[in-house]
Amino acid sequence: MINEQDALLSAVQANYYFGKLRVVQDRPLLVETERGRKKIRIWQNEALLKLHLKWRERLINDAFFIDRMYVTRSGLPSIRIGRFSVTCHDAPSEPTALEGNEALWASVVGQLVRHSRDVPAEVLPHATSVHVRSLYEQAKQIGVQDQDAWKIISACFSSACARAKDADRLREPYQNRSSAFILPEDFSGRSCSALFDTLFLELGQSRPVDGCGLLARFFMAESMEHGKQSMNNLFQALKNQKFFDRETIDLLQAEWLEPDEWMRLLEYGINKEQIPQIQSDQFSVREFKQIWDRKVKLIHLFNSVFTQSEDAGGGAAHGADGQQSD
Amino acid sequence: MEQTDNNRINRILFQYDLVPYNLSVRGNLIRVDTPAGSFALKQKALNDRQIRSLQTVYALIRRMVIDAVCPLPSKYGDLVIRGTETSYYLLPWFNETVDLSNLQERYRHLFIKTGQLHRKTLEKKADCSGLYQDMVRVLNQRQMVWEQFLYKAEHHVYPSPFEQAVLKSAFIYLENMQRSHDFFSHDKDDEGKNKTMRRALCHGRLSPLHLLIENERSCLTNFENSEDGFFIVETAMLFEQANVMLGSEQTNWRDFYESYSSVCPLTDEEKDVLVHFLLFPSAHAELLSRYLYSGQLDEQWFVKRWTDLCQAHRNMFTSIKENMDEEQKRKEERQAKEKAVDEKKEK
Repeated sequence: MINEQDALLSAVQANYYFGKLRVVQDRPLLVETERGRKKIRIWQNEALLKLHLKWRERLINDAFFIDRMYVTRSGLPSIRIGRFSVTCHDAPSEPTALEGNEALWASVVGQLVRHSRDVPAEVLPHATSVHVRSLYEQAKQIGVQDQDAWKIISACFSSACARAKDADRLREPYQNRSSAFILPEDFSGRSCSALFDTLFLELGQSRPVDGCGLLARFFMAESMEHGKQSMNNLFQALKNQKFFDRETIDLLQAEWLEPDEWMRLLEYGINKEQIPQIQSDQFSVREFKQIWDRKVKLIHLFNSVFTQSEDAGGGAAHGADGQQSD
Repeated sequence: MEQTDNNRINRILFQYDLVPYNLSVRGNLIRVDTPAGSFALKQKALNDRQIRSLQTVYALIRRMVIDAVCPLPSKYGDLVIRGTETSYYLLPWFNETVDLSNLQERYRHLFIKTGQLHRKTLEKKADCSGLYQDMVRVLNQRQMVWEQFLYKAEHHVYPSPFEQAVLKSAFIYLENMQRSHDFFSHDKDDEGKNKTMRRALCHGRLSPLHLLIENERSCLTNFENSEDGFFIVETAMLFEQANVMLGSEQTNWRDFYESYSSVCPLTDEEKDVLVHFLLFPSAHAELLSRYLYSGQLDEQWFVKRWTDLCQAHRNMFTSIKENMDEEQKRKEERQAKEKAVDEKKEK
């Protein structure tokens, strides 16, 4: 009896111009061919596949590669096998760090911000400040016992409120936008590989989500890992490209201003009090401090690059002035 | 090539899954040698319309309607790899066996391949009144150049040697242009309807350099300006171009005409258009215009060029016309015979 993978591989071999195929990894399915390593993707959702095809079409450029679909012998971008569609992609594996490659990353991010757009994938949060206050009141009523945590939560309350208010204010003008920057849900620093002095972006097959939120998290994660200089180089390169418009700048800042680390610490405390038997994700004061301080620095750096010479009317009023957790 | 250049090329070749072991610049092409074979990579600025033309021709080649060399599709299905300023496309490498300077041989192949292209992509007849009107406009412009030249020359007490040479043959060309004018002014048939002519895919940039010849096989290439049109105009322009390029070389125009018409037989109307198009050559008018507006004049060069053009044009026109007349005569004889046979049968 032919198993499913064998059937899949023989369909791939028959439909694409591959002489030999050897499976090197099962999930995701990677095959070695005489033309290099390829990734085979299986799509259960035809609408998502169509969306991804159009998405890639919009992103074609000569600055970096995208994991476009190979065309079959008959010129189609996918093979139909029963209820599924199958696509074939390149799978370069050389990792690329941000440090030293800031200009390349800036080119990818710049192009994405400009061309990776669609109808908004989700509604922008608009009442963060209300949420911050209600969460704080709830914690006060319950009486969070962890004294260390409570001390820092209450000390940062006014800052958290101000940041939440700023985030709401920055997002407000874009609540009814018709087009938004989108990114695949699993976008991260690992989405890019190095290839011939440029980057290869793996758009993957995840659903599209709000791009600014993901990009802000990506910048945050990279800034935790790399030094200030690297982030400064990246922001400078992005600024030189002029692809960041006011909307992107505002929404990125709003993402960092939103005190989600403060809310997380608070929610962790509430959960521990209410249902002590349930082990929720550990979130220590130390981690909170680290994120809070890093965000302050990142906002400051971002502002110094992007709003220094411009009218900073839409910029953040709080957070960037350096109120750190200590 | 430098490393950065190599990587730029490698980025293009990656889209074809090709790994080159050798890259070499050959004129405006890059020869790419890979384990999968040799290819020619061409860099060129192409607009959307040109890319659409290449796609149309590619579809015809895939359906084996025409035999031509068109860009190979990338692994993503793109015929052209588009950049911000320039685009790239890949062609199979041809080891050309006829030198680029051998124009006689290259034109011989070109007339056959052009005939095949037109024949294989023939479409129904279409209203050609617009074409006739365009021809009249072109003719008027050329007549204007002639008039300006002659006016100036006739007002010189001592015409220059070039002016004398032109004046000597002017009456023939003026008369020919008038004949053409009369012909193209009649864009309606005897019944008062607009005249019609056959259309076909036209290459758009026919040239002996846009033809690849390897031994017995020759293929047209560079189809980015191709479009649907009244193909007889392209044929006429090809004769005119060959006439200028081959100049005083001994050329068998009958052979060229027969090569073309044997693969793509022309109708009587198309023959008429061809003949009348060739009656007002552009090269002559361009030379007169150049003489009128250029500052430094090499009289000897102009006289020589004029004499060569006139002689080459006369040879070509006479050969083609004779060939057409013979064809017509044969046709009439055949019809007369058929008529006689029919009459006999009736009796």
